[in-house]
Amino acid sequence: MTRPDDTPRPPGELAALEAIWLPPRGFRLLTAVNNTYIGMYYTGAAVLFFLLAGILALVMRAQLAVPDNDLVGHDLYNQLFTMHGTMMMFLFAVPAVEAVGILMLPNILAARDLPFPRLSAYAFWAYFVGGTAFFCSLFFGLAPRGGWFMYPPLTSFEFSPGISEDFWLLGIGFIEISAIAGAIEIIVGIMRTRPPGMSLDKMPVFAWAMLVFAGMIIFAFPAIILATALLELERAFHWPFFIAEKGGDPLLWQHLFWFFGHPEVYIIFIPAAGMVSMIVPAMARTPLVAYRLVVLALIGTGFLSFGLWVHHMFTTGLPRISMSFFSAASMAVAIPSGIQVFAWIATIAAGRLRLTVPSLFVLGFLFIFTIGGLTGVMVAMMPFDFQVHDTYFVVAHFHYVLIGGMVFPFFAAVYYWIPTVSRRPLSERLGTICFGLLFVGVNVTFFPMHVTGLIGMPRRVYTYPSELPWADLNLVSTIGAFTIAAGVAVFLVDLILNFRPSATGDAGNVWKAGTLEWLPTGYYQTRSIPHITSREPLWEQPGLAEDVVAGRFYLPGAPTGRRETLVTSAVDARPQYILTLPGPGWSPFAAALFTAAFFLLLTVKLVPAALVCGVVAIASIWLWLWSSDPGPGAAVDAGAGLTLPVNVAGPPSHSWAATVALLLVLGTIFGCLVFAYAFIWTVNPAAWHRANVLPPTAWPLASAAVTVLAAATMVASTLLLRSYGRPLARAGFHLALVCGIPLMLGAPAIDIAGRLQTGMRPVDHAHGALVYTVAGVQALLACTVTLMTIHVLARSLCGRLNAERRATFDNTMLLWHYTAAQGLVGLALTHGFPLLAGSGLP
Amino acid sequence: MTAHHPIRVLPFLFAGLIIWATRFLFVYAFVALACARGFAEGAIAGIGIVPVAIVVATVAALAANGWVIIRGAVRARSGAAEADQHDSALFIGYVAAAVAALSIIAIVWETLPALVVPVCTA
Repeated sequence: MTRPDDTPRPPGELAALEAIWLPPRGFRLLTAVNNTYIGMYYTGAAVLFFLLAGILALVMRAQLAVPDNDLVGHDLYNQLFTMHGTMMMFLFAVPAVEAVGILMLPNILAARDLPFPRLSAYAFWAYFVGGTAFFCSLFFGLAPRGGWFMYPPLTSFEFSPGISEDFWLLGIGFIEISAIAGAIEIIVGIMRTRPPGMSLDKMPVFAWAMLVFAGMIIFAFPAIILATALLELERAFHWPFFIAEKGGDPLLWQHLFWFFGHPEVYIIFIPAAGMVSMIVPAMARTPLVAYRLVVLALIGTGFLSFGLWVHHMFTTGLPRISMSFFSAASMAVAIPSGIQVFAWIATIAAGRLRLTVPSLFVLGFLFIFTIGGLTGVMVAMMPFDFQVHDTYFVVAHFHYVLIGGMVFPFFAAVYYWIPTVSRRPLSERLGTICFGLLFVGVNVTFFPMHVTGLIGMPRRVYTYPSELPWADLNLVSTIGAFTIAAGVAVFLVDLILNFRPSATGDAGNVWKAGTLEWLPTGYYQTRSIPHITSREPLWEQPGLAEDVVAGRFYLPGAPTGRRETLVTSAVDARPQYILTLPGPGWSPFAAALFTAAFFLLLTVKLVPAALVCGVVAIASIWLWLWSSDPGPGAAVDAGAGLTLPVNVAGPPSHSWAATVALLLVLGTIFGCLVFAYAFIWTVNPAAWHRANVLPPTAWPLASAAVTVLAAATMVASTLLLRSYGRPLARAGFHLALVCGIPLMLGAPAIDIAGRLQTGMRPVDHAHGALVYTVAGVQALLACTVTLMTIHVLARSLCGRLNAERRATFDNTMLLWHYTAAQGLVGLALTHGFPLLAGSGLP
Repeated sequence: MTAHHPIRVLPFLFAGLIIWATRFLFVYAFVALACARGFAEGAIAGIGIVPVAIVVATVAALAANGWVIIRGAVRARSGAAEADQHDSALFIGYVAAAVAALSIIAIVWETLPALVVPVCTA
């Protein structure tokens, strides 16, 4: 159905739709979950952390303005650069692009909301509460000091006693959870809530960019999750993963950190590139040149960026041939980046670029990012890198890349998209001044740093003697930094004067752009969900906006009487079913608040209070899940002559897709753990073998057998659920689940008991620490699936689960089987591999 | 499962770079092990075991990418036969083939150091 349905809409339909989507008022705004509100909160919080981290940078620049300065001491300076880097990367850059995704994607896809609104709300509040507390650690002198990449042994218990580094390790924990939650939401949202007709070849480039971004988070963040967990175990319990004397290796941290850290740069660049690919065609008033090659470039950058991590480790003494591969890969990634730059230039050349504020920021981005890219190719060459490693040349390089590659596109996007959420656009005059100050400021600050680095100034020094020839260049950089601050101040003035948030009376399509976010919207987003036939529907489909507003397409009302959106097939975007969505609620807010409290209280060693908060967080999540999974409903009229089912279970469902994404995260965490195990075995074989004491084979065999039995109980439950209507089958279903729990918990317990009786202890050696970590991770997963299984049982006993209403069961079943599989692989790794590698039994 | 099921489409779209990643991981791990465990000195038919492994992995990866390019071209062409699937099939075939082509460039470029750099020198 590509033609609109002209049948008049029934009276009262629009009013009912508005009432259903009406946001909460007053303090209950904390309970809002829909993307317009969460997206705005998220973006606002990211900008707040940008300002706070920027102020820290200004203090550092003031300190370095003149030689022998005593404005701040070395200890505070260490805290400043650590917090500046950490906040800019974890509290600004990633959340900011994720925030723009959450705010804009439903508009761009003409969806009513993303498929898991409460997950977005949870992700935001966990990030905001935790991030604020993390920042406040500065005021108590408790901020971390080890630099944003936290290299041990400096950051381990011996050289960094106290809790400052724990703030980083546990503080980053909730941000990782938040980022992954947002990524899963974004993947499922893009794949399943596109408007009918928007097949993959018609998907806006920003959606492609966010898809690649979210996929990269799924595979990159697990490495930092594992790394932070290992370092925290080392700090808290002295498990020596990174201590060379005990068979560990500090380079393990560097591998894990940069396996996350390098893709992280592209994780923030790719969405920014997606924003640019939306802005350039709108400003040049012509479709993006080489759309398919730009999609290729996004996919290519996403993959190739995982092959670069060792280029941060060129000075660590790895085999030269290994480093050569990474050096070559670092240059190869310039190819897809280059494709995009040429596509933007060609688009500008093909159309007539209007020199608006978004255009200026895009041009600034092209200039600054290209310089950063070129110095990137320079440092990709090992001999050059050896010279400038840990100098201000590198500081200049990554600020050009990050500010050019993310901050300028972010400002461009804010100026470009603000008319979709504000009654007024921002000022062109103030925006131009802001751009001018930022552009000049960035170049004045960071260009001299190339030279400062080349003449020998190391990064992270809190002062320098006047005899060294660094003073003039540093003064210039400081002047530049305050120019940037002036530019940001102009931006804030512009926001105060012109930003008037509104979900119902926005400024509209002020740029005459062609994509769907410029359709008129209300609290419910678009009145009806259009069928599109091109990549720029507002340019190619005349009268589309009027037809959408008149309700002539899909879902012009709320046929289920609840919040809802349309789910379409992943590749061709054919309508599949109507998904009902939750409204405002306290549970995501409470869950986030207590998740953040759990991590922060653990940091300050208030373990009992942390455990209480953890329990309340789990209870809140349980409460939230209790009202989810409403089950399939009767088919309803979806408008435009289409009848669709309501909610579905099984593999076609959005919930199944999200669980699969979660399993990919878990699988990658485990993959990183396997890497850690293999790495320690590779680098220190003699010490590894000395510590290799295996229990009798009966122990792992018993554990494996119990694991297989646990999986069998879940297979039995799945079969019995099909006949749930019969009392006997229902009783058998319950019995199978109840029997499965002790088996699932028992398998890692047997493994750990077997290890303990050999006398092997995790504090003695890195090998032992890793063996117990594999078993511990398995035990943690078993506890998680136990909680989920109890939830399934409770739902079943309360009549909230049956053969059709089974999404909760399906999700538990998927995680259950994954846990069993990981358990078997873990046993093979920690018992089978040492046998193969030639160990001695006790 | 239809030809347009995401389980079939997405891995196919990314196949070229999945092949790149597999080869990259293999070569990196093999060299690391060979150097750490001292079997880099071994030789097959007078050629060092590390260059042999790299060349074999590279040839296999290039062949696999060639296959993806052919499949992509076939898929793009077959789209023309299904009127309503044309744009989508063309896009999937084209992008899959282009991703594989990019993968070939990256693989060849990243193999060149093996020809000139001594294996285990730090």
